[in-house]
Amino acid sequence: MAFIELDNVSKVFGQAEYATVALKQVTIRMDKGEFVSIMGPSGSGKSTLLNIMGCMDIPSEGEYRLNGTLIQKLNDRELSQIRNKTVSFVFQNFALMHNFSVYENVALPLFKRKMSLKEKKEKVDYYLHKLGIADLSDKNVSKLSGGQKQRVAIARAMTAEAELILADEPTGALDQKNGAQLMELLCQMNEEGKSIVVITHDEKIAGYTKRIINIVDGVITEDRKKER
Amino acid sequence: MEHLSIAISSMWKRKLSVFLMMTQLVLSFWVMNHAFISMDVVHYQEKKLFAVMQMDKDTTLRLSFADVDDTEWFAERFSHLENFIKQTPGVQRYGSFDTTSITPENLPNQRAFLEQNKKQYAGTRLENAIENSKIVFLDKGIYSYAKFKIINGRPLGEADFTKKDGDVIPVLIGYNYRDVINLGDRFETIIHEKKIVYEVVGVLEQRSEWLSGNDYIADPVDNLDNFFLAPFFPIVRESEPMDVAVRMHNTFIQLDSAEMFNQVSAAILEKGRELGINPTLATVGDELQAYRENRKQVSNFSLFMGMFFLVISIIGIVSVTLSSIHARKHELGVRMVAGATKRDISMIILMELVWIVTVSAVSGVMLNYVTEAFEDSSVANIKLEMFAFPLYGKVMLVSILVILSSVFIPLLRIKKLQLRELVGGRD
Repeated sequence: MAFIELDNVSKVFGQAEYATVALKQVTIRMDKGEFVSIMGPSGSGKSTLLNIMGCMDIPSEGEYRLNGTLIQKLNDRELSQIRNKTVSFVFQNFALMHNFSVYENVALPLFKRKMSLKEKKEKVDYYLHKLGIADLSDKNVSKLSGGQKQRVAIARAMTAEAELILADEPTGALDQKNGAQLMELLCQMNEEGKSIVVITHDEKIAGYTKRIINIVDGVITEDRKKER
Repeated sequence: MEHLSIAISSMWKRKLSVFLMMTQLVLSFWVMNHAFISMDVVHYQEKKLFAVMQMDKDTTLRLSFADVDDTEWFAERFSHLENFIKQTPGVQRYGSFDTTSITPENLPNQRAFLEQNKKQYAGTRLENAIENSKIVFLDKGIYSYAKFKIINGRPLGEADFTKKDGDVIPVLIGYNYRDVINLGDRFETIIHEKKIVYEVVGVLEQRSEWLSGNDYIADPVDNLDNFFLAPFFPIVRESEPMDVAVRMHNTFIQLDSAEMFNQVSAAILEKGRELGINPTLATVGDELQAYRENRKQVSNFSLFMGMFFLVISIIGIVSVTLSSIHARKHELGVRMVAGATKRDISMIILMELVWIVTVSAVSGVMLNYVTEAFEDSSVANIKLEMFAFPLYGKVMLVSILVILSSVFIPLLRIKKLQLRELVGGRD
């Protein structure tokens, strides 16, 4: 059983003559520990695919199974639980809560975990140290540079200790140096056993991954595995 | 708890709008609370009235005069009318009371008496008159309405109401005097240049109360702990026209039955007109109704204002909360991506509203307490007594209604949030 199974998944936005098909019968299988990049031009359906993989959206047709669980059958609470425990996200815009501190942002996935405040603090501090941003803990995230913000977003993803990391154009708002550092971090997380899906249109970024899926107009045009 | 701490932290980040919203709510609760108290004062007064005196709404009447005149001429005619009333068929009891001051002298322990008054009057407008005590004089007819309890000695008896000038007058003392004046102690007062001797025959139970001598319905009852209570005797009842005039506010008639009202009333009014003093008669029930109507206007206005402000506040809360949800779409989206459900987000918004409304309601009630405490009116003390659980219950009910009506539209808005639209893309 694959970790991620998308069978003939389609996604349509709008209705009747206003309907826009974002994905057309997409089938993907991904095992645990894979490092995959999804490439394609703007509007090709990459982000829609990522939203479905991350349980932020559900397919219009087809089936999506994550770790054997049929996602369409889940309610809001169960989907939230998956987003909290199984999947973590890294976005191009960092998706941080402005006007909140670095600590508050990184601790976010622990919101509903049954842990004492002390345990939560220890965990957050551990990942802040690991990413070298412990000294920024009390700083407001809106005061950070792009590179620092993305580290906070990575720290948050790590704190969740989820098996699957979904990164949507993670280096899009970073300079080359910070982008490379971020990809190194993702590689390191993959080596530690995490499954990672990166959406990008940058060949260089895709070069860090072990499998590249190309998507054009909502259809998978290429799916190739390679050695780094 | 987690939801509440997120709600508080989020409110702190937009403290100015929260503060303005709360200011509006505090004022609304203040006015609303004032209205509740105004309404409660009427019920309280009514309850007290029947607690201190065995009267009946339909069969107890009060005699009054539109133009009270403290002349010999008026006093003489009033005495004629009193005699007529006592003999009118259908009248079961008739009597008056008067609350005034006396200066007791030659008490066995005069110093202790003065010390006691000094202690009791400290900080009041009586603090420079510690030699005086209030006293209630009553007729037998009205004493029998009262619900006084005696904890030591004896109550006033039939013979006590037939005392003549020059007799020793039996007196009951208030609870606070129990340790400074003993049963059997005698003291003297000078009334209309005549020496009156009183003898203490009983001690009233603590917190005994009696109707106010000024306005038996509108004014709060008097606590008799620092009072004396004695039967009327001729020199205080009718030796001066003024003595007669003061009684005219506080003269009650008890009928055999409600059916006798028209007959008795017609006879008394006819006799009054014949004497040229034009009395009016009203049942206690009618007087209470008139008082209620009078207070209702004030309390209804306050209630209307309170509700008006509250509706305005609710509209304000809804619009601020909606714009806050709109402004915080990104934050809420991030929370949902990290695992928060729409229910969690709704709980955060609900907690914010609960916190804002609760703190505003408590502040509004406290503000109202402070303003009532500084109010200089005869019912100020009664109003302060109203600050108790029934009032808090009403405020709590209003708070719940405010929360429910404020939270409804924002929760619908949250329900419609689409996660995929909240995060992602460029900032």
